[in-house]
Amino acid sequence: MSVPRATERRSSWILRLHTLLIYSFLYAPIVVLVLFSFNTDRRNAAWQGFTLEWYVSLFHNETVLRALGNSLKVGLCATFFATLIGSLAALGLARYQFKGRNLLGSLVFVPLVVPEIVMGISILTLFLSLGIRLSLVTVIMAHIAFCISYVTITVRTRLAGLDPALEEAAADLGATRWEAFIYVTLPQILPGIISGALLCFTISFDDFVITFFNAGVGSGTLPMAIHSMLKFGITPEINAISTIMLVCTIGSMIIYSLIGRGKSKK
Amino acid sequence: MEESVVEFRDVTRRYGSVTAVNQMNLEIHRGEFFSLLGPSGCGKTTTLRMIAGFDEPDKGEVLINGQDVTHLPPFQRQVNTVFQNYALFPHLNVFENIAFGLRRKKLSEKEITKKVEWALELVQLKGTEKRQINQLSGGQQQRIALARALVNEPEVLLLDEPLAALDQKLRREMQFELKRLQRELGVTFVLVTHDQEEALTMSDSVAVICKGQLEQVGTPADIYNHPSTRFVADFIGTANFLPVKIRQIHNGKTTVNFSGRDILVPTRKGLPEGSWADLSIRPERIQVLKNSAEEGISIPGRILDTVFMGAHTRITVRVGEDYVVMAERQNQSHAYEPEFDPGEEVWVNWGLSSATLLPKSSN
Repeated sequence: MSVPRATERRSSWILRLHTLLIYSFLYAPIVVLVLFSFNTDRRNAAWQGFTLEWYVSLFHNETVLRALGNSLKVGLCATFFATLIGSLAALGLARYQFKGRNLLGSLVFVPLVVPEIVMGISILTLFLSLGIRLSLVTVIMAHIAFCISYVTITVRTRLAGLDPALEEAAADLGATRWEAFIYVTLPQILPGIISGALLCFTISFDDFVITFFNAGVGSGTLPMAIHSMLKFGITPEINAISTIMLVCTIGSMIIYSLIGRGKSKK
Repeated sequence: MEESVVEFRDVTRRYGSVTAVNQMNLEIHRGEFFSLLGPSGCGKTTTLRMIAGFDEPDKGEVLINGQDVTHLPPFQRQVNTVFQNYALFPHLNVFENIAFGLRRKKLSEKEITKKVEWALELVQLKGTEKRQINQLSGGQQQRIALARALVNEPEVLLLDEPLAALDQKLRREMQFELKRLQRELGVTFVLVTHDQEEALTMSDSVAVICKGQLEQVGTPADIYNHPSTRFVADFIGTANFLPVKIRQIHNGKTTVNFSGRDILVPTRKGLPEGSWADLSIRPERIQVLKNSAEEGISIPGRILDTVFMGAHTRITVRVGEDYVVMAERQNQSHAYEPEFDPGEEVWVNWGLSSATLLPKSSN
């Protein structure tokens, strides 16, 4: 190891400051938001003291509770169906040879890059032209639609890394196609399916734009509730809801990355 | 030994415009160690996959135990495979990997435990039941793959280049181990390999395959000493090839002409007088002498090069118009060995029966 020269030492000092600034810019607002959700001061300006008052009042706020309930219903339903459909799509794309396979494979990526507002409007147009009344069901359907891509992509990645000889080995040892799937393929791609499901839930839980276009009366989700509460300014309650959402999302992302790490270890 | 356990009848398999296996007729006898030998892409793996049931022929029939299994799925065949990269199930431990086939047969837990123990003992890995696959070395994974296949008591064990991923020393060990298992269990082994030494040392019978065609089937000594085509002579070991014209066939002896000189060679059917052929002679059967010898066949030449290679010395000699013959001489300290200088005039000598006439090949 050589001793760092003076210029190197100075540049490393600048580099550290630079890094600190970037991370502050990214995370300071979030930290402030979380802190102010525990602040006794209603005006959200200066730190006055610690309180859980805003969390307690949230759980007495019927609008918020209903929105939370809707968000959970939408999130869970959308996750369940999108995971099912998305996983099957991934299996079909990876395991079968058919006409237009490459085209279909590429089309899976498109919903990820279509502007959300276009997606929202186009789904709304579909519902209107079919004469379907907007409700919680339409929200769920819209969410399933944009979540499928995420599942298909994560499961397909996992399938791509799977040795095709494993399924042959299962068949060789007397497993029918169904048994080979249940005992070999499924356990192998399960981490991919779970990752996909968590990703779905996270994205569905904080979606605003698509939900905004496709929600009926009384089917607003949590992000929509926050949006309407904002009309009265940023209150500590909003900070509290945001903190709760943050914990949910970060929690599922941590599980997601833990599964990812388990995968790469193998 | 004569009862055939696997039989191919006129089997052809095409992938698009490529013919991987072409009208192959093959018979593998019960209890023998059979090798499918050939360069990569010759169709040997496709052949194995059609026995296993992973691939179906476009034409022809595959029989196992005399029963037509051409269109039978792999899980209904009495054969098991050891895959090239082992294909062990990474989410299951050693015990469950070996028990996989037994569980599909719905055996009782007691029987499963008994059989798994037997298989682990067979491959000398007792006590590893609870281990995860990624905690095993390459050699151990190989043994578990063997145990997983053999525990099902297959009619035929298929091995797809199972030693390719192992290092030299381990490969030798496993060759010995495979041979021991095969003898002990009496199960028919079918090995796919591109390594001619591996095929020669382990097999009872070797099938040499080239471009989807069966070139020759025989014992290792048979195909080494009496290759039927130039490809076989060239692929198994090394061989010198001299172009000759058949002059006369008389009393079981054939006279051929090489570069204006008549020499005597063993007769081979299907090569009429006046046709061209290749004369194949193994380097270790050739002696380089200072003077013409009484015995065998001698032709004059000029030393090109002498290379010391440890156990033997390789001598290259220019003969005829412009052909090079390579001779290998064992380095035995007690025997008198003449030294040669480049350019020196010498005689190249071999025993009559050491030469083989081969038809001119198109490739």
